Amino acid sequence: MRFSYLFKYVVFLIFAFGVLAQGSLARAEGMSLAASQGPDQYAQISIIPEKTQIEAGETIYIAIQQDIYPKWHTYWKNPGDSGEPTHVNWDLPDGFQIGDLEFPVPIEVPTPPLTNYGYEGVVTYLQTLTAPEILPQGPIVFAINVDWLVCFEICIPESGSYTLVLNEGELQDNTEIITDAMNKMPTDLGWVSAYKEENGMLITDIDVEHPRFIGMEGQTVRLDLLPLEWGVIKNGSQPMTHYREKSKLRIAKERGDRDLPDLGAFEALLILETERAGRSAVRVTMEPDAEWLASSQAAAAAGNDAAAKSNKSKTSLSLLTALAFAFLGGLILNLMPCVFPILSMKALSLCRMAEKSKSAARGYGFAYTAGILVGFGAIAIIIIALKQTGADIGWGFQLQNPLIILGIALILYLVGLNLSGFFEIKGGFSNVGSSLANRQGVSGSFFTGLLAVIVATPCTAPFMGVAMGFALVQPPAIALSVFLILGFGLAFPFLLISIVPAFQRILPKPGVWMITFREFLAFPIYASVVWLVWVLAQQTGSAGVLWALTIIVGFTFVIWIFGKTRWASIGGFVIRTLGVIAVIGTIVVAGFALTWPQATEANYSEKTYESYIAGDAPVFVNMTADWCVTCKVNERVALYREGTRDLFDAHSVVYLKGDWTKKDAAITKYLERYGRNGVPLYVYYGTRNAQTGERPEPVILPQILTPGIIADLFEN
Amino acid sequence: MTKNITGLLRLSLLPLFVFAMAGFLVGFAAQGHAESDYGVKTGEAAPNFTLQGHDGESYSLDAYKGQIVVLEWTNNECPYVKKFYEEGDMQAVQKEATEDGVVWFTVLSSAKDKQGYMDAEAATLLIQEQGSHETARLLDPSGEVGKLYNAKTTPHMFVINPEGTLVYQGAIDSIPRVKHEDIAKADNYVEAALAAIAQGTKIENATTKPYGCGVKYGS
Repeated sequence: MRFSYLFKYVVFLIFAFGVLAQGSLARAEGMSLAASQGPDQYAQISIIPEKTQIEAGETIYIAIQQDIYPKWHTYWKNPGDSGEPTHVNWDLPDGFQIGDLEFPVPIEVPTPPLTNYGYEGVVTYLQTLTAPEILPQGPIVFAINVDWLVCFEICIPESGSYTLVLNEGELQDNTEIITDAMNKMPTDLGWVSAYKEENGMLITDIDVEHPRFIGMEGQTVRLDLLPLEWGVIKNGSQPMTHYREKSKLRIAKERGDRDLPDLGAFEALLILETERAGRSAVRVTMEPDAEWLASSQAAAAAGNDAAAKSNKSKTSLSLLTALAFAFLGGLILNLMPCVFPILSMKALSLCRMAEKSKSAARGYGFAYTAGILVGFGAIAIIIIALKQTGADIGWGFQLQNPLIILGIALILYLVGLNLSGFFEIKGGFSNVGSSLANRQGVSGSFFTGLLAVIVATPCTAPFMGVAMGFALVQPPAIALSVFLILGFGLAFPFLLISIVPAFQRILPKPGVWMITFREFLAFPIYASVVWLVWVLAQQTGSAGVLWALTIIVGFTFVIWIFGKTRWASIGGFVIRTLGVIAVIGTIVVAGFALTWPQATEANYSEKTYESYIAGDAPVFVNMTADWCVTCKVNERVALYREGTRDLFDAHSVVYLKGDWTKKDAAITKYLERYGRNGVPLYVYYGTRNAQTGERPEPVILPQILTPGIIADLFEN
Repeated sequence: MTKNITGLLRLSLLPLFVFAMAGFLVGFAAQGHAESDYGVKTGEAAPNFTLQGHDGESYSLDAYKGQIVVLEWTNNECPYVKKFYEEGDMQAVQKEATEDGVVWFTVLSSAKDKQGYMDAEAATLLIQEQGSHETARLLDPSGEVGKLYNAKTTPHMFVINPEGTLVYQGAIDSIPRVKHEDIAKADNYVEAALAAIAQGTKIENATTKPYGCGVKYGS
């Protein structure tokens, strides 16, 4: 079992590295916050018309832009537990009409135990302005009063008076600002959804017939429902979401203080947040579910007692169904490619053992069941506990963490290698029977049960939707029992075989076929690994895949070395140590790939290039590719550093990046111009000479960059 | 063969579980203050509490059964509190109520390093300075009572009837704005609730959305 120490060590290192990498990223974000004295006003307002000319009868947008001091926030229309939204008051000339202030999609601003909804940074509100059919001559002047509350730890009410003048001077077009602002507004798709209240939860099934939502299940995505009315939900409570069908999204949120039947219909935003696309929302009109409304009104009339009773019988009925589903689901899990091989191995071992001792067989069956129940129980308790603290999780939440995906993929891979016969730890196939009849066999079965739970998790997420969804909106005791029944379903087939001798007789006689079968079973396991790596690719992009595959190759290499050598001999010791160091080194280097910056600067095209060069500002061109390690290292050590960014900012350098990861004719042409046929290529075009208006000769930088080389560009 | 697998399993399970547990612990820590289901529903019994007042006395809600009790969460530096104190509006409501035998507690749940925190001495001075008419200003720097009642804003008002039932919670009045001029235009929900109890009629707006600054709880 010397192998075990190595294994633990390596796994520990991998996880430790991942955690460190995340930590350092977080620190980098924090650094940019400058500490300084507060300003006179914590928010600045600019009033920007869509265009400065308005015609009779025309409607234009007016943007009210609020630039908020770092870390401070202003409020959404529904400000949450405290606060007040920004108000805009217009003094309108005769005949003009102004629309309601439109609020963009807010963020959640938590100040435990309170939660607010609002904005940080720059926020742009929109209002429509409609001119009358008969327009006054000459410039039109609007007086606008804006008042708002801006808070961070403390709250300050601020206000200002502004003037907007239209139809004066040259036409100025600000369509771009308006378009940007519109993109941050909730989308109106005319969605209507029925809501009801059950067990202190607001529940609604939204028909999310929109490409933005379809197929989002299992993606790293955050969904939320934010009513524009107060007291509908508990502010800051985490939504429980799952897709009941492809486009039927169920959202459940903890209820707020206000009585719902009195409220009737209200507006809400369905928030969708993904890492790639950021935060957006669709407007949903929430209407009371007719059946629920009728029954709750009838209940209110008939008194609370009767209501409680009818509610209870309903719950217990669906509880039975859910438990049955859970049991069935557990049974089906046994056939999943990630679980089936493990069950089969247990059954095979039973074939051998059953001949020897019936009581031992029973013991293994119970131990295996116990392992599974403990595993499911532990996960259920963790989920329930986290949910109590308001965390945003559901079944399968473990799989949202790439490190856990990686861990499960590795375990499965090792199990697969073992089944393939790539390595054996000790003892052969033949003497297994005898060693089984000791206590270790029992604890072994227990751990097999635990393992089954862990490897089963990737398979549960898509399959157990109904039972899990039900369980997660129930009180803890019910949720726990659903999970345990599910576990029991998973354990049931093996338990049955181990305790009923008649079933054992059905099992085929042991023989050489078992080895072949075992080797075959490795393939579904490998298939599961492939799937997990694909999931990893979705979560982390290509960098994560690089890391995972490097680790897999490294593990294989170490196992191979350990199969060929022994600690006891000096040569073996040296080779083993070197091997392990080499593998860890590779993994660490690959790990850097995960933190490689994914820059999103302007991408090279001949048109952008020419327009940049035609301008006056200095231009820095970086030709790079994802597969070019030198490029990535250069970017990491020299280009994407704060110092370099500051230098670029100070000299107003325009940065242009060309990505040659995929074939790109324009970039190839550019490279040829400089006599290159590969990346990296760094070219700096200095600023125009003030007298001649000419740019100096472009500077071609070396292929290995240092911060010093870049700084030198600006020395002269 | 089983041994091969189970041996391997055990090795691989251990670090995974340790990691998972560590992750959850970090998660818990990040959550910070674990939130639980505090708060009282209108129509339910108001939970008892005992707090020290500005005068050094100890005040328990239970001791005031048979009387109407008003709880007013406050923080004298909050603009919304200033709205009601700078021109004497809140003082007037307090005066009228306490003269009618209502027990009026102002409650201070600002944590020690947060805006509005005061010790007994400072609270006494403030009462003199602003001429307020509360029965006592209760000091709740731990935020315990604030969270028990789920007090969210300053001001946030609670009215408890002589039977000890919470009959009103929410805003002081109907216009959730910071400007003083709005007070005259607004309906005062607390006055309405007190009048309804006196007349034995139903309280029209028994739960409203409180407005103002967030209560400055400690973290």
